[in-house]
Amino acid sequence: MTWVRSFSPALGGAILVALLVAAALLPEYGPLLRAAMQRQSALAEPVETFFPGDDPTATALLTVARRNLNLLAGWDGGASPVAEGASPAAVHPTPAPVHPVPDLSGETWFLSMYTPGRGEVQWGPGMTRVDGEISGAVERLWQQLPDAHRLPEVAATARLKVDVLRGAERAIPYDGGFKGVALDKGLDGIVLRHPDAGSFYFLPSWGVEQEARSRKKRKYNSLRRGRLHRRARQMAVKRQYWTPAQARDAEFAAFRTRSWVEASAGGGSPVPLARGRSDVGSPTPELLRERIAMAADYLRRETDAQGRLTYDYKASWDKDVGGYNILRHAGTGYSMFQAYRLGSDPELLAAGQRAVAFFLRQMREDPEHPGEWFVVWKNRRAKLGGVGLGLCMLVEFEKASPGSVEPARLEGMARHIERMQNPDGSFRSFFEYDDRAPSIRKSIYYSGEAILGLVRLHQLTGDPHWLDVAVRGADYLTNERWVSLGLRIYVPPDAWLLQALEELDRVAPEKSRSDYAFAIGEVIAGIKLMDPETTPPDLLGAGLSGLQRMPHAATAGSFGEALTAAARLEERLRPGEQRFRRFALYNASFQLRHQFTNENSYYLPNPARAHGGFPMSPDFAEIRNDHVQHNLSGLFGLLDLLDEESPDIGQALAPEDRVVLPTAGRGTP
Amino acid sequence: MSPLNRPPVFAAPASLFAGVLLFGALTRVAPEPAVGTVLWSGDVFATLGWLGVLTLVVSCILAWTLAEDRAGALAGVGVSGQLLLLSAALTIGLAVNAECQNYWDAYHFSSLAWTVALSSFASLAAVQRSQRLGSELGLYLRPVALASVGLSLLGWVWTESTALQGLGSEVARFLFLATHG
Repeated sequence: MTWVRSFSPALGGAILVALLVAAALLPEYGPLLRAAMQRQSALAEPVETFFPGDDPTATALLTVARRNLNLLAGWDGGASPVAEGASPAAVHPTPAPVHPVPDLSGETWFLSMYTPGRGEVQWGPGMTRVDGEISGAVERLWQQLPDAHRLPEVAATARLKVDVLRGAERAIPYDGGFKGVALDKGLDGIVLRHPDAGSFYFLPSWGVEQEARSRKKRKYNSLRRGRLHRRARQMAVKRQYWTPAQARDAEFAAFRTRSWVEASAGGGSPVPLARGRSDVGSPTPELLRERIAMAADYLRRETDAQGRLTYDYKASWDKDVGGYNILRHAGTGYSMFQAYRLGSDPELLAAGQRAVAFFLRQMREDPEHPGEWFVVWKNRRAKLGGVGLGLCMLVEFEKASPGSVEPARLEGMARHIERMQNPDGSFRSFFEYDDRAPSIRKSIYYSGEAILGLVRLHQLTGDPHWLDVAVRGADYLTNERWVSLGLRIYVPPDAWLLQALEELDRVAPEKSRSDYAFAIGEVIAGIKLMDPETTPPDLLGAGLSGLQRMPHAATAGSFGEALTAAARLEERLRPGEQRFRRFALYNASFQLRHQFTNENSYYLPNPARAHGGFPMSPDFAEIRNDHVQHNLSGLFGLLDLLDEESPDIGQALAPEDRVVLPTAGRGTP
Repeated sequence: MSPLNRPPVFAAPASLFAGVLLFGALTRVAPEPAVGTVLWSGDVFATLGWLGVLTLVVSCILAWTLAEDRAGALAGVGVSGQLLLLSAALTIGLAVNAECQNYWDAYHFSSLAWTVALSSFASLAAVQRSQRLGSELGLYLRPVALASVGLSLLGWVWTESTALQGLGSEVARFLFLATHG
């Protein structure tokens, strides 16, 4: 035991601290470290430019292939009767210019044909290797279609895509090794080779186009990275009639391609793709206006006659899977009126009005406090956030279309929020109605939503009472939430509160609140990729994700709302600094790259329906109405920052335009 | 033999609280409990933590002043302090994992964090003294006690230092970029 006596306790303690910290972090970071180490042995060669740019050979190949396809299909290249009028995805109306047949020798090219709405979803496109005559490749693609689909209108709605192999194939472990980390989703393809069955190419973009579905659980999700190799084997069996044993025993390697897709259904100039997406460049006011209008149009189209929105559209499966959330309905209505303030589209206003009417039908008057209103979806819990966002929606409606909202209802909702406030300024998250059992659950976000609603009501009415209620709530969240016994446990990424704090600061500036707003902004930026030097260009502005799936595009929307609010606050309080403005721009570029446009929806079964929507992530085309809302509102907030002519997101009405509430200024009914 | 001459007597009370806390953490914080399972609220865990600390401090004072085998008694108190802080730390981890943030207050988490910190200091004091009085166990426990104090300080610095939190973000970003192309 002499070694124990001679051992310095401090050193021993330090070693133990290090070991304990390592042990505590191991479950979280151990798999990442293992993945990072394994990945080093299977890394692809770096590329000079991530998005491939224009390529004369690709252009010529697509043009000649399109000409051949139209000839085969008997389509003259004019507007398609199928797409005409009904679809926002523009059909290429003019015949393609004549190009000489390109020389493809020395390179390996693949030609794919996507036929939206035809055949089995998630089957993948028709695909063939271009070796020899292009006409032969097109002929093979055409023959891959069932007889019933070999029609002129199919050529008119089809999209051709070309891929050219880049660099050498590289060896990878089976299934991509640990968590599939040797493969990058959307960038790596997999080639399978079997001496009897031949070869099968699983193209890189299929890694983000393909999704997973559990029929039993009725769940959808992105295809896990560790399943890419398996999906390639399954597709070889299904599409090329390999036996499972052949697929299992086949040699395999990873490869990368550069790819281009026709810009629109029926043709168009080639759009360079990387990871199944095209680049959009820096956000400009013009681009933001265009994309906000597209998003709003998606919401308009998805609002039915009763005002109910499509809650969850799985675009890769062309399936509305149902479900509903009245809080998110309110948020979505709010964003529709923001877009209306920008573009004054009467059809959008009408859809928004229907959405408001639908919301009002779900509201109930508090029987114990007449005149106070809360909202419930089908006897579920009555969420404070539902009333908060409902107030945001109605205020936005009134700003967009003065005289549209009943002031008593606005006040009744605000009074309900006030009733939910505790003496310390905090809020209860759920209202107990009809003798429902009280819920002790506390939402991180409902309080911020309620405070934003009150701040917006103050902008509409100028009534100081609602500003006071909002300030009390904001002060609690800033100074007391997650603070106790001298410790601040954490700062949640509360995007709604950050927006409320920015707008509160305009009328009730207070350093502790603005500091906390910046702290929320830092927390949000801390979990995002904000360094253009080290980040793959298409992931700049994205959030961090796990090993198996791609970063969320949906979260980028809500964080966009937050970061643009932080940037507006920064512009006022920290002149000369542009930290949050830069973050907001990076974040917006990620949002814009993943919104469904003509260019990047080529692989969906119904691109027209998805047009303008925002998917959950680059590899999971789930479009929920709140994804669209957050992204639309985030872009609206950025436009406010970039363009002085655009509407102010937190516009306070002039005294002569203000709405007068029934009990204005008196605080109690 | 007088109970004051039995070191386990001084170690038992805080160890008991550590055990109850650990039992609760392992079985009573699940977000979706099995039918019939009654969950413990954050108040229960916080109270257990504070009672554990109180018991530990009282045991430490009694062992320091009354115990006949002072070295052994203080070493026992040191062990019970380590058990208590380990239970409290595990409770925090399991509660976060079970998303108790949606149910508990800052007070509950802070109470458990202070349980960890105060137990580590009390344990270090007991262990230091027991080592000086010639306890072999105290000698072995000293690095452990120092480590627990170090971890408590690290945890406190983490809550205060945006630089350290930023470093955490950088590590997460680095690992993301090392595993995604």
